[in-house]
Amino acid sequence: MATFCYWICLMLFAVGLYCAVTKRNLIKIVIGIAIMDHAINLFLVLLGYRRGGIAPILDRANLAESGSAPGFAERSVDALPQAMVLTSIVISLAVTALLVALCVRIYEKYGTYDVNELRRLRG
Amino acid sequence: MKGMSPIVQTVTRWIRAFIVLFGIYVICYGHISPGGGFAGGVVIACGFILLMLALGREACERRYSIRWAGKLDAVGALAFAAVALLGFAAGLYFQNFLGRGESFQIRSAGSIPLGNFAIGLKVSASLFLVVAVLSVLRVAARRPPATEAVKPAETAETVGPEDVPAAGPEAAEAAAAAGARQVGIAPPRAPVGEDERLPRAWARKRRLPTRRRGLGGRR
Amino acid sequence: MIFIPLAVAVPLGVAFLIALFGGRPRWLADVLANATAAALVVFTILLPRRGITIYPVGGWGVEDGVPTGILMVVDGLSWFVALTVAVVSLAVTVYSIAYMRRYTAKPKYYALLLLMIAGMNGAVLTGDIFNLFVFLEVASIASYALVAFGTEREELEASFKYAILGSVGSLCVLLGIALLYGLAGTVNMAQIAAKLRAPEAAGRMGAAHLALALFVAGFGLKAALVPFHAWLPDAHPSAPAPVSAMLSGVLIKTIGVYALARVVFHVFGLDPKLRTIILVLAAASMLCAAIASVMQRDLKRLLAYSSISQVGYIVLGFGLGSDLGALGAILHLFNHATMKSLLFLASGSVEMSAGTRDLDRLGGLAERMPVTAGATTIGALGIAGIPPFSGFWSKLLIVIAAVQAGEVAMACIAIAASLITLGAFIGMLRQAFFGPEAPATAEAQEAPAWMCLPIVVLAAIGLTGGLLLLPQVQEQVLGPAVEAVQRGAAYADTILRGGR
Repeated sequence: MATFCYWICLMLFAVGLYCAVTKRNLIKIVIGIAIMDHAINLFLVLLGYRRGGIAPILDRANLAESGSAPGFAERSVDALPQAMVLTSIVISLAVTALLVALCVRIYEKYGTYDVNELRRLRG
Repeated sequence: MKGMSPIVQTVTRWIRAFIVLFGIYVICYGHISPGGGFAGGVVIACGFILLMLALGREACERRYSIRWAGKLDAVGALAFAAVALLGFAAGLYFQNFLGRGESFQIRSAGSIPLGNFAIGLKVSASLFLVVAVLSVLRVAARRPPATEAVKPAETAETVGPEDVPAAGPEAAEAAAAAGARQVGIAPPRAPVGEDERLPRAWARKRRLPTRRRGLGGRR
Repeated sequence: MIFIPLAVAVPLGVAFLIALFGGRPRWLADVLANATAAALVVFTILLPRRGITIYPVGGWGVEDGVPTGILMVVDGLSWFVALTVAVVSLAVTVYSIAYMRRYTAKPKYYALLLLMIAGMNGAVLTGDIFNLFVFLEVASIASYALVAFGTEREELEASFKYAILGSVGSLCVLLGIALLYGLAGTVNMAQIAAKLRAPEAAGRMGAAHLALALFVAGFGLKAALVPFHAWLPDAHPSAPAPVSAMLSGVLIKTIGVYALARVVFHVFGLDPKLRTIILVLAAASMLCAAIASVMQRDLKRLLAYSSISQVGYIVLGFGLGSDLGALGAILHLFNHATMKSLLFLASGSVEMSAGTRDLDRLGGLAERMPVTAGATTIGALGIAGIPPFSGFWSKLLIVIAAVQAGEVAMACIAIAASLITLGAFIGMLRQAFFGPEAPATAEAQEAPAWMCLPIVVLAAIGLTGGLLLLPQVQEQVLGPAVEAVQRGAAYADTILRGGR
């Protein structure tokens, strides 16, 4: 039961991969990449969960309850995956922005969003 | 790009200040509560993007120019690099060179708030820049692209006539297929003006393009 | 030791400096970019190459065997790859002074190029696997934008394909990192290696094997190994020539081959099944790409397929796992980086002078462009493996190492691919340079001096590359790199003890 949520994330990754691979519209391909990004971010955050843990925000009340900072670190959920996910979200923002800009430029030049029409490079 | 209804414009005028203020709060308290440079920067950028959506791109660009957004973006990144390099004053790269301060106060946590400010500036400027530039591209794309028949004349200068044999048989079917998607036929874009670096005779003799390719007319 | 973070921070800072000021005096972007590239060569030569040096960023180092922060780790392999990157970057930035005049927004080009260089240096000089991923993405995103720089049709199409496939590869790597974090609770490569070898990890190796498979897929896609190569023959020809030189010369090697080698040798360890998989991938790359390169009519596309083939050689050398194989692979990495960037820069000169890259329409360029023709000949023969050029020595070492390791089939495939590559390149030389003159080339002229200078320097490196195998030189330059690769498990122990 504990690993059920991880399987959901991996299935979401597979759904995103399917979308990026089989769709014909450029924008849908970009959405597939975005779904894959979100799936992995979700997976990372879920990895940090600790049963019965508190949010990893240190303030005076939490510090008083736990006695010391290492004690608080043992009671809270893992904060490192959350930091990694922040970085990963920024990266996926940059990639999505670039992909969308490319889509818009491709529409300018080719007149279509259909990926089967982008066939000038062959061989 | 047209703006939106008067209701949206009025509400935007009222609440934009609060959005930006909230973004600044998230940046300033980034070392005490959740948030920080990136989240606060996104909120501030959303305030400006709201203005662009409500008023339309041209009206927004008259107030907040895209060139300055680009420069602020670079300044934010350089500020962050400066914070990292100032760490050498304390011995190592990125090391904390200010005091640690008391916990849970605004003036604590060393150089982290400075990094937050720099990142907030950079992220807000660059997100606004991204949305503004994408809307510029969109405006340009409303002018439908030229058909295949007109394109080879233009591209012949750049990639050589190798395209023409390939474009020939495909041109007819591509034009027919694309015809249903096109709104109309537009003239090809005029070439960017010549630069004194590529004098026409010199370039023509070497069969170079006299038209410059690239991201845009601005240097 | 101060140069370790500077090798990453300086290109990053100067990139934004150029983006801020670049337009105003026209020469400022050129001067800044070339000064940074020259400074990078100096910085990387001065990096420590013996043993393992740890740079604790922000003062958070290793305490009681536990790394508490992001560590930058420099060993012989990082040093050598960073040096290759610096040399090729300097050649490319000098070449861009003249070549990029045809494009608008030259300062933005330099900014993106320096970002890519900073990303590659960061990927090579780090000890954290998530940090490796972040810099890998920085370099990749900069390269997606650079491939689309001309914004013509083919370039946009190629860049879109490259961006989508590259993103899928990066996401595979990120999923692998997530799985490893779930297993080990840390992202430091040395600590992950130690935890994977500990007895309590024995029952949970399923996730580790899945992570390893994802790394091979993801880094294999970045390195353009067959069957992950589909983006390269479109992306590399469509980019401007200096960008193609950077992509083919150093990008696929730092974020592809180097990252794969780091993960395979130092985090997981090379076991027999993994070795077989890597050898099969290498053999497929060498053979399929060489055969495909013969049939190409576009000059840069031929060079792109040949890149895939040569990366197969490098991966073969690493996959054999022996000292000699590692030596051959590292030397071939350097040789191919210099020779392939030489070939791409020369093809840019040809395209600028003759106006086309189509081999059927080129001909007889040797009388009109003697410097470029000579340099291309040196580069082509160097890659094809003709003595006394540099490529011959590295290929010979890889073949001998394959035979010594008992993989005679691999050696035969390597030799066959080499012969096919030789055929393709001789065909290209005969067609484009040493054949009858074609109408398109009637008015071709030699390229400007700024473009010929880096081509000549790279050709000189190609002629003398074999000298790296002299015992005195090898002990200084290649020896530390081979020692770093063969260190294996000692990498993790040394870092957790605080470095040496």
